Amino acid sequence: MTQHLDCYLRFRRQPDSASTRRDLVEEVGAYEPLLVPNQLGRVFLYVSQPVNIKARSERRGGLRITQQGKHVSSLYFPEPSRPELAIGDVQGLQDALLFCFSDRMQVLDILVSKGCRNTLDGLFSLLVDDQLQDEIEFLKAQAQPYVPLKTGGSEQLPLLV
Amino acid sequence: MIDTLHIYLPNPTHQEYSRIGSRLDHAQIQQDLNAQFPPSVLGQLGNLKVKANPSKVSVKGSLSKFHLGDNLQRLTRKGTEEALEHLSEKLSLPLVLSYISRIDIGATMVMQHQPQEYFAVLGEAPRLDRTTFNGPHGPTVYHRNNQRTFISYDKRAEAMKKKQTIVPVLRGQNLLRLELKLTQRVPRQLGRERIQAGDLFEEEIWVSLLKNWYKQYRSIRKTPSLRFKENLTMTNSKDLVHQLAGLGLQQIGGEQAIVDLLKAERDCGRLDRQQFHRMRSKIMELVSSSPLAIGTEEGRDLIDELDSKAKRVISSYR
Repeated sequence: MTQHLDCYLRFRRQPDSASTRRDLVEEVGAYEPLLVPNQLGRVFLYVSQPVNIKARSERRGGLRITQQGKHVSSLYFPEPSRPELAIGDVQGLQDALLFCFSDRMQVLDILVSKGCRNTLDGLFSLLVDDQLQDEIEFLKAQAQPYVPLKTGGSEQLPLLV
Repeated sequence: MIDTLHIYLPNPTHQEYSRIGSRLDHAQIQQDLNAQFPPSVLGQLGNLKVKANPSKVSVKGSLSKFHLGDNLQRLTRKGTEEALEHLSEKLSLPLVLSYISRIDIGATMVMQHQPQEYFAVLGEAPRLDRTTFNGPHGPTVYHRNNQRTFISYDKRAEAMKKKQTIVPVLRGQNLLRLELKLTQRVPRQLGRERIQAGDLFEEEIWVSLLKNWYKQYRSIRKTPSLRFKENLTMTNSKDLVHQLAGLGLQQIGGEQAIVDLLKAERDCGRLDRQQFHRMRSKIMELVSSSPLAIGTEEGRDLIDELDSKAKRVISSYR
């Protein structure tokens, strides 16, 4: 079986956190561009509308994610019949990102295929046609709960996985 | 998206012209004994063919293969800019100022079925001549006129025939390639007076290329194979004639088969242009307006899949 996916990260909204914030709860593959911790060692990102992005409508994503105040990726939703699936990439890198929302947008799974930015469309087709299901299940089974490096302050509560 | 590109840079400086031979592989000198001009230099740069003489330098070939190694991967807008910079650097020429004489825009789509199944649903297109060519890597469907060609073919079969490496993501998949080749009057086809290579990464031009590709795809009639509704009730003689005509169409092999038959008749001179067009219109009318004939579910599924994947190609660009 050809391996297409290299990393998996699960972000989930935590109780009492901002509606746009999703905290990292599980991961496998240690994808560093998305593992930028705050001062307390927690990793989270914000999913928001792509305001302030000066691009033509064809180029502007449906949503975007930011981490530590920096834009990480726009999220494009290419298949109207599967509104929970999106694609994106990280500026300056050749990696392809696949986004899967679930649980009423509370959970965001990010799948990373390293070096596949130029074949992102093909990868998305495989995702839509459920051809990556086995690989996703395999990665999920391997995923480890994310433990913040430091604890303290108001963020010492355990993460809801 | 951008694949083959033919560009030419008029009036290179003497310095640019004289050092180009040293930058090419297998460079050859071509001297026309009757001409009084200095000789032309021919050579290759990777997969690209380069020809230089004092009046112009022309470069022909797949930009995608030159920059990414194959044309299965998508050459984005930014990628095109980088590829042209890469090429300009290799040739030490300001190729962003070169003019475009041909451009191919293509997309490789991962499909659920074999590409040959989709060819059957690709019918006629206005002002384009449809032909099927059975080449060494399977059938290829051409829709062409003297300015452009829209080609549909099995990319995996082609890559295997040419012994090209298929990127891991696409390995083992059914790959359908849809390619639009603008071969003549490129600026006019894109609604511009002139178009230079440097314009390609302008958003406006890029979007216009994508839209042209999609427009051409949309212009092709999609014809599912026919079957008949159950429990047909014939209430009048017109219904009867429609049903019999539909049965005849089905017997012959569908709309495309009869259109091909008419084309053969036209090419032999037994039908004139007007007769051919009238007959073709009648067949299309019969297929589309007949209340009796409906497309098979499989045929509809193929068309829906094609439509959604083609739309996905242009839904976002980078």
